[in-house]
Amino acid sequence: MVHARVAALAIEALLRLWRARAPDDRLALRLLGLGQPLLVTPALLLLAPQRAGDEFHDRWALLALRHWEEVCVAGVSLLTAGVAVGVAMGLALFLMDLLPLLPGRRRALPASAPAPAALAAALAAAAAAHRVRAPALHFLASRAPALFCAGVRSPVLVVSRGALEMLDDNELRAALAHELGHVDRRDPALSWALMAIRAVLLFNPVAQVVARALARDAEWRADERAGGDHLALASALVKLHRAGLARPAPARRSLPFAAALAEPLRRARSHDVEARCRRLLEPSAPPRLAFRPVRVALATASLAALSFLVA
Amino acid sequence: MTALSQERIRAHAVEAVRTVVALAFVIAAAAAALVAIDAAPAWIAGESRDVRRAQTVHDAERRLRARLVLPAYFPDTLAWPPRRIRFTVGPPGAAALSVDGPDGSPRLLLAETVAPGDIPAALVPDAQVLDRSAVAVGAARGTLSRVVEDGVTVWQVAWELDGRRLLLRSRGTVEELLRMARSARETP
Repeated sequence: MVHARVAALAIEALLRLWRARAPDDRLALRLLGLGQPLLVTPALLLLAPQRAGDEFHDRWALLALRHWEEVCVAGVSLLTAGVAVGVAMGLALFLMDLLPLLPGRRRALPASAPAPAALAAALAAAAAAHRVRAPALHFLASRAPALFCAGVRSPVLVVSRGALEMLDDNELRAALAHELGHVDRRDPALSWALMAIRAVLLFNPVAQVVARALARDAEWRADERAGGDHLALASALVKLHRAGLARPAPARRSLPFAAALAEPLRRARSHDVEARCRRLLEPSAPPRLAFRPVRVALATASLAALSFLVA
Repeated sequence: MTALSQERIRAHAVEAVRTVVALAFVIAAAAAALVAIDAAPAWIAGESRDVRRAQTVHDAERRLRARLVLPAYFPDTLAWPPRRIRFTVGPPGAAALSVDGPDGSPRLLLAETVAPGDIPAALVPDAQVLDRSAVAVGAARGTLSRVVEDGVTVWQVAWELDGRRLLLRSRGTVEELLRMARSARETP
């Protein structure tokens, strides 16, 4: 937990100091933070067993958590209390996103209705423009707004009549391009992989928060891949978000990415939409980091060294 | 080389330096924060960061990787186990055992190093020496003193055993103190 916290905070500081604003850069660096407790910590345990010894704890470690066992409040050591609070937070964050995905809570996608020819044509045109294979179209007759992609092995694009009526041609084109960006980068599969990692790091609140930040970065990346009319995409985003607040979607999104921003986090979602719109309205896309592989390698090595000294 | 390419090289160099400096800053700040978090328990207890606490004598010995010297004679005016066991890893490693009386009042301090060197000042509370004299502690020569600690005059004996420095400070009688000092040996 401490390794993850150190890595996550250091990564957030680096994102700001390096002015990493391109989603790909942010994703790469944040994945480092998520990989720390998953890969580096077990590797340290295996490759450097002497870290578990008394001498390492008392002489070499920058932070030895056992020292916090020495401070007790009401008979409970601060270490025990801290771990208990962390575990409770991690569980709460994970369950918040897991509950909507549980079989009993999950609403099946309503049956597909015949899609309007104009929508199929718009999707085909957008796919051709972005050189992406068009996913299957799942049209919902509902007037509630819905426009998202789903499916890991066979991606489908879910669009409702409500969304079609709400968006003008430019907005629809931009929104479809955004969803194609998700399909192209296999974000649905990535979202499930992230959920699996979160399940492994169930008790780690930092991993849960970093995974959510990664989901946001994936949205930004899809925004950028949509290219073209950013103003139309921002407009579509605001319209769909506003309509979603007033009227729930006819089908619950089954992706952890979406679940990460589900109903309990409505306010946070509004903030995310606002941030995305602000980015979309910027005159140009943020520049990519120079020497990204070198930066990632340096950050990995530095964080591993720092983790080595946390016992 | 054109002016444009020179400009690009210069920009890349600046960016590379900025990258390394930012990374060094973040790692240094993280390390400083970790050290501060590590030191917090000691600060809360009013100790310096070097001073650690152990639950038992065995725990202190394990962490110091050395046997402690303890008095074989232990009067019933003292309550075992020690109320507080503090140690520093050194070098030299050292430990201090605070022992209370049966009524819970502080009675005895035993401080010792586990290797040649002085006992760290952080392990022994400040005291004003009133007088001192030489005394035999077994085969060794020691120093017997009267010191004032927290406004109370107490007896203190300091001596050396196999290169290790030992100090006993007691609120009991001088006879009891010397008998304890003369019975001191490594725990089996």
